[in-house]
Amino acid sequence: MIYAIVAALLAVLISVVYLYYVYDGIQRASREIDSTAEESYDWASYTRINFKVLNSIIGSIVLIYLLTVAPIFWYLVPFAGLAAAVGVITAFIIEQHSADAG
Amino acid sequence: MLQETQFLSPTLGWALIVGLGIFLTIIAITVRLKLVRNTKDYIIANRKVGLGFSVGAVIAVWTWSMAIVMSAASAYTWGLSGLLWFTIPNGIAIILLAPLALRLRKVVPNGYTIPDYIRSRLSSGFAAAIATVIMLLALLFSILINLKGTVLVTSAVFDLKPAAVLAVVLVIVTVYSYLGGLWTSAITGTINTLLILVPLAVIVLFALATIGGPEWVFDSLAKKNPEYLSIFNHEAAAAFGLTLALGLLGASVSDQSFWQKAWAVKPRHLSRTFIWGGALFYPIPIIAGILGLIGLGYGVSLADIGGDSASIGPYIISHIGLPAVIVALYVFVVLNCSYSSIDGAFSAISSLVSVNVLMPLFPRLGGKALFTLTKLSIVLFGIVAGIIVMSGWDFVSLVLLAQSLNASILVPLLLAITWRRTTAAGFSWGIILAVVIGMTVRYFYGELAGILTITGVSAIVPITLGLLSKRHFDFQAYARQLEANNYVDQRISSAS
Repeated sequence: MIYAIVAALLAVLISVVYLYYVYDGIQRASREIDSTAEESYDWASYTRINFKVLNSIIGSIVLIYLLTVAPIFWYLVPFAGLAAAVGVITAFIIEQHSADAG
Repeated sequence: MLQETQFLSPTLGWALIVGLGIFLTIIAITVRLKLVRNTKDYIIANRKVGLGFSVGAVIAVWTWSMAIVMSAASAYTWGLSGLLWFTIPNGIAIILLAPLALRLRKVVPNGYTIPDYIRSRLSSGFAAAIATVIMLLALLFSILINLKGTVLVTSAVFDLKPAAVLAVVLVIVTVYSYLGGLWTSAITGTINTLLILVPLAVIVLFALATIGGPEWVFDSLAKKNPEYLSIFNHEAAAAFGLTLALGLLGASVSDQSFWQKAWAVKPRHLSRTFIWGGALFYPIPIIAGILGLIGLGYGVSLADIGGDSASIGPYIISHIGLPAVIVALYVFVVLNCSYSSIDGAFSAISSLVSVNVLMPLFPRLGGKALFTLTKLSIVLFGIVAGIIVMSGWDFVSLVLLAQSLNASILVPLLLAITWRRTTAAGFSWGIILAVVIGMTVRYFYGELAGILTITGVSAIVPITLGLLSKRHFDFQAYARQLEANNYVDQRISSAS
């Protein structure tokens, strides 16, 4: 039960932060919507798809493989779901930084 | 010990369905007031969608309600091999869109829809019409399949009448999709992603705690059949893995919901959108799959769950003695999956109807009329989906038909995006022959033979006709030409 309680507490914390970034994202989009500045099409700098793409695929295979190894790893999977929500928050943060830099 | 079936209060079920709908509608109204001023905002969010919303929306659109129940069904049927074969191709199907989207957006930075690209790239209204029909059908099927997942779960937990659930869900999603277009879809989708990922993790941990931890499930599976605890069971691959992998690739590539986002996201975030979307999607089916493993551990038989393995997730959730709030939370997760996928489909339908149906059919249509009719297309498709569902069409046939149509456009579309020698005849006949021959083969020889034939024919025809053709398409000249004169972009911008 301890895992479930810890996850529930983390879930609340992550949700609050996540929703803040959603709100902030809407505010920023609202400010940008009237801006006439067009995004430059510097495609050469955007076309960077490398071997790192494989990380998530290999990571997921490893995660499922761990389920075959020992039952303790079964607790890991739900926390990976919480980590994925943190991943979306990270996407908002990266976007915010790139907007500030740009 | 599993408990007897005890349905939760139907009032709670309706409160969840309607409550989530009202919550998302309020967000849609806010988004509409803040961000949507014209047709271009509505269809393509003025190409200003950032990384957070694009990643969140991609995950939500790809997480169909059936994905939650089918991942548990795969684990229940094949053990961990089934879960592996269900999960891995799902993420790859999204990640593979990254290089394709980059390639396409380099050539057509201000595009709107795939059929519009096909029309200009292949100079063929016929090829564009085929692509439009297949993509609209694929979207319609995705709406129907999501409705099926919703009905399955709400019936199992609340014993709600399917027809009533379908009608209410369709009305709710149609209303809030109507309000804000792509901005609404991206923002509500991002919120849906939170409401899928976080509760699902908590639910499964509570489920594991309630049954006394994963140890006994693990031991039970090892005793029943050690193959359940292996990811190397070849039977799972042969029985459904390969078919599913091809079907999923076709489903993502032929889904205008993703292409719409590819053209709407800011260029610098384009590749990350799909790579992160695919990566962050991965935990969802794995978490949901644990419920299928619990079902296997308990030795639940197919007869116990009405003969449909897709029911194993809701069955376990409602039979292991979880508190009502956790059971309701599971339904809430499935509703979020359903609403976000249907909303994404509606948004994509609006772009296809606007650009590929209304604009070619009514070239002189004014900006206001175009905007209104684009929005009304969502209502029309909502009604069509409702009529089909109420007619009692067999959902298995529906899924198989959708998979075949999706697979038929996969290779021709990849070639049209990447290969200079792709011709209109190759694209069109590749799809038509693949559907006709492949579905015949499927009828006589089964799923795997059918989908392999569809993929094979849809590859051989355009490649053969391309090699026979002496024409080499110049993508750079095409990009320059579009930059100088993009009729669709000009028309939508002027409609603004």
